[in-house]
Amino acid sequence: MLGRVTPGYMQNDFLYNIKNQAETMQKKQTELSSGLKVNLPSDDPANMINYMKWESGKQDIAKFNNIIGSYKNKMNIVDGHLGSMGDSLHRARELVVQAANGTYTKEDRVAMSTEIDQIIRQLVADANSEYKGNPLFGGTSTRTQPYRITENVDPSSNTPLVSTVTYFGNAQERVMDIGKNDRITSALPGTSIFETTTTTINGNRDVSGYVASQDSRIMIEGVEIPILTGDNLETIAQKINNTELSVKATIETNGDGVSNFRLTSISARQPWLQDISGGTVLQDLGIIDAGTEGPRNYSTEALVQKESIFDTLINVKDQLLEDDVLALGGASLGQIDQSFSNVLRYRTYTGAVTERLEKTYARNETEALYLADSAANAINTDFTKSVTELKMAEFAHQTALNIGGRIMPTTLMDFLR
Amino acid sequence: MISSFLGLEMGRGALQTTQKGLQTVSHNLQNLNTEGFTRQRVTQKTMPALFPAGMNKPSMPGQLGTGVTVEEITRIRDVYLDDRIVFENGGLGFWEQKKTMLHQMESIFNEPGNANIRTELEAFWESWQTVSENPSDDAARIHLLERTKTLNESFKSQHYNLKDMQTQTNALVEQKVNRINNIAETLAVLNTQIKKQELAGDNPNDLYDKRDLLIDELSTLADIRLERDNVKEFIVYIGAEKLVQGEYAAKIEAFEDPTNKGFVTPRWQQTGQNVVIGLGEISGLVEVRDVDLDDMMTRLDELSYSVADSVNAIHREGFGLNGETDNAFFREFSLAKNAEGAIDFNEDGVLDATALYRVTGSEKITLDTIMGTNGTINFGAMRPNGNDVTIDYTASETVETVIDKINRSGAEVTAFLDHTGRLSIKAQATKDKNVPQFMLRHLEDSGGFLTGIAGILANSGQDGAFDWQNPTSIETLNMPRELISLTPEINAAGWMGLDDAVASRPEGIAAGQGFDTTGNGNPDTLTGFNDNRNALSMANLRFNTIMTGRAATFDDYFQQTIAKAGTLSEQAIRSFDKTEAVSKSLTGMRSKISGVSVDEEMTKMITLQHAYNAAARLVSTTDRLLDVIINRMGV
Repeated sequence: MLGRVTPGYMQNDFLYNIKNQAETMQKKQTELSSGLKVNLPSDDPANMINYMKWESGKQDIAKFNNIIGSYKNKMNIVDGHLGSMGDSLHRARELVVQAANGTYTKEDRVAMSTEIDQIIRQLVADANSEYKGNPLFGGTSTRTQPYRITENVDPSSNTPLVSTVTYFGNAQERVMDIGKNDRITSALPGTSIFETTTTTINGNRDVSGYVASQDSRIMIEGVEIPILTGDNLETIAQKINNTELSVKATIETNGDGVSNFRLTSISARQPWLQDISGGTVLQDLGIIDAGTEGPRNYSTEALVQKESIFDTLINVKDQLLEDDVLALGGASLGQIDQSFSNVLRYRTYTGAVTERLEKTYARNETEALYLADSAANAINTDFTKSVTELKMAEFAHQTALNIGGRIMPTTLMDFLR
Repeated sequence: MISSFLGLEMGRGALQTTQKGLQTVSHNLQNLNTEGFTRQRVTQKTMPALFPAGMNKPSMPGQLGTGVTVEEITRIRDVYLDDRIVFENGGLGFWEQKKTMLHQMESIFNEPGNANIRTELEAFWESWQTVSENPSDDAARIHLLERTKTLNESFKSQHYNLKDMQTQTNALVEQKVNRINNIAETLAVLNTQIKKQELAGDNPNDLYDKRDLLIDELSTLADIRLERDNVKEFIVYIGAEKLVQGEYAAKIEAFEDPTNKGFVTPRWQQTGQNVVIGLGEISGLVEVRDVDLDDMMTRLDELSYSVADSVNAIHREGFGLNGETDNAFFREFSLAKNAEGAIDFNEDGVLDATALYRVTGSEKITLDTIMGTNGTINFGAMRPNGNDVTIDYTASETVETVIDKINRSGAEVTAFLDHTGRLSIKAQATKDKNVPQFMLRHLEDSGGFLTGIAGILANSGQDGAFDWQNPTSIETLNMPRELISLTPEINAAGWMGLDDAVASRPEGIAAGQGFDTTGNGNPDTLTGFNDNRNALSMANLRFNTIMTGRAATFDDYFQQTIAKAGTLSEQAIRSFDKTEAVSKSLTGMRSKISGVSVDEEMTKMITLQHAYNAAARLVSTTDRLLDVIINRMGV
């Protein structure tokens, strides 16, 4: 301490220190009462950033788990319906095996046809099932039942029987994000599940020497394939086959030099085909028509070979009515087996997705816990530490006040007469 | 001969001197708590001795002392310390203002908390996720609209809070400038009074104290320099100009600068020159107003418009439940009032520039697409008369490297691949105040990247370059009009809102994409009520790194903004604490030198009291001596 010590100096010094102590106490008190050691970004900018990052990570996970939870439900419902469809097909198979047996009479088979008819209706009801008001197997395009039934009155039994089942949905898969860059297919359209055979679309138009007249794109099963000006048939077919889709392109050329373009799906499904980006390639090749949505846009002039499980059972029903034992025991039995295995395949897929959802859910829960812990560590008060510090500050404050109170008023005056 | 009454005379002198001493002690004690008071001290001296050398000097031995008298009454003050304090006060005032204002600024963001832009932005993306979960559900859509309104309100209120702060800060600057004028005038008056007193040969100590107190206050406002030693005049400089010269005070006006939003700038009234104000409260306030607050507002603008633009770009591609497409989600007010983005920049009535915010190429590419050709991309000059910002690329480099190069080039643009893989180049906020914010300057490629590969420019080379200073420059671009976005009007965060296409029309929200029914390849009808592809793209926007250069996502950008506000405030607090400690130690030293010590004064009082008593005794003794001479030596 240099020089004279004046009351003014002592007073200022005392006040400055008391002010600093009061600030420390106030800060500790805020920490304790708010529960946060970072009450403003300036208290600790680095931890503030960490907190915000972890906090938004937590939010994301909470949202994704919310979605996963609701999708697990949905998957369980899908599984239930597919199980019921499997049972129905199983029953149909039993009937067909019985019917193929020569010991049954024509009348027995007519009776069986009524049961098959009921099974068809049951299957259609399952295929039309809904989740939260939206059809599960209708693609994305409809709010109403995707499968609709047309009936014919059968003269022999005088009852209305199902004659056709038509699909009114579209071919779009429903996808959902269950994590950052983690997308799952949550619902396939009925045309990808309830099929017995693969689909072949044979463009019934001579396209030999076709060359794309402009740059454009075609879309197959949601994947865009660029077509450049001057691409010929072979190039286009090659481009399609190189994309590893479940659709293969072939060119059928007969002896007269007439070439037809043909698309075949590898598995039992009706592929989603579309011309996009201003192009008309698939239309030019006679594969699709403009104006309608896939899969109902297959060209009317094209030769389309496909069979849904409903078609299969309608055939069975007709064969029962016609007493065609040979067909029943041969082709039809095989096709029912095929239908059954297609539905089962999708059921397996659903199970796998559910399992994945459950694993992701559990992983997210754990991660959310860590994130919450980190976020709390970044900005929450360490109570033990803060209380101790507050007590220390209080002690120092009281001591200062006490000593200040004793020293400040003492001057020479106290000792003069 | 020596007068018989010399003793009385000397006694009187001693009485008067000690009395003056006692009065000064009393003055000191009474002003114990007067702000700016300096303790005063009576300097005593001996009276001239008898007799001085000279012709008439009587021949007697010795020099006879003739007592005491007051030489002067002075202040005890260290001028060097005063100058140090004046110097430190500038920094103290500067950081004090910055600390107070920046504390207010960071408080506006309400972090860490539950209701702020960050959480509302998260809620916004989450709502898109909910819409993607149930695209045909009206409830989810209404929820999204309501959350968007909250988000808009948040941006707006933060914008206006910052703007209000700016206005308040501006008013404070004006106040402080007026205070300088006030002080200058008072100083001039004081100087006059002091001069009069000094001419009369006195030390006007209390006037000096008043002047020093004002100088202290003035030095917290601006960086001043004093000329105390000038015998003629007391001079106060701000910068190189004289604020006060003796009895004359210059005037500083708060000039409303039209080039800076009408905010005031201190200017010398006489010359019209800007005042070089130096460190002080005024420069602290001006810096908060013109730099810190401005930066925060620009960052809010940039964030809000980036969100709006990115969302709109995706929204335009989608279809609402009502079958409508090509609608915006957020409203857009463009600087240009025409579709070509042409503006009248110099306001002479003729369109002379193109203001574009973002261009997106027509070609879909991936990060590993190879350049194929060598080339140089030129982004023009970022400063008036500056060098062009260019980057070179070679034929074997990938899109990823080139995008990285662009983002690191300092070209004030952000390059990224959009949700469908098209190259987008977006303007950032610029530090050049001579051009509008968020405007692309120049795009030129000598090779084939921006032209053939990305599909942004129609032709390479100088002839095919896009430049903002050409009102028809949009013709050099090669993409359809809907892939170009125009520069927004200023204060984008302040007018953020829903577009009419979706406001109160939840069915207008484009959650799905379309398909083509007419056979021309362009989507014209919503694919399906439950198509959620567009909503998913929206929800995924939050993960896209499409903000400034390396800064990444919207979230990251906002977090950086918060961190910046926090760091600025933290720095101001620390600097203030530091300067306060220095200043405290200096004023402490001053108070040690100039402050009144009661003990000391008391001691002095007792000394003087005894001196007075002694002098009185001398007078009465002399009185008795004279009594002997006059009354008892009688004949």
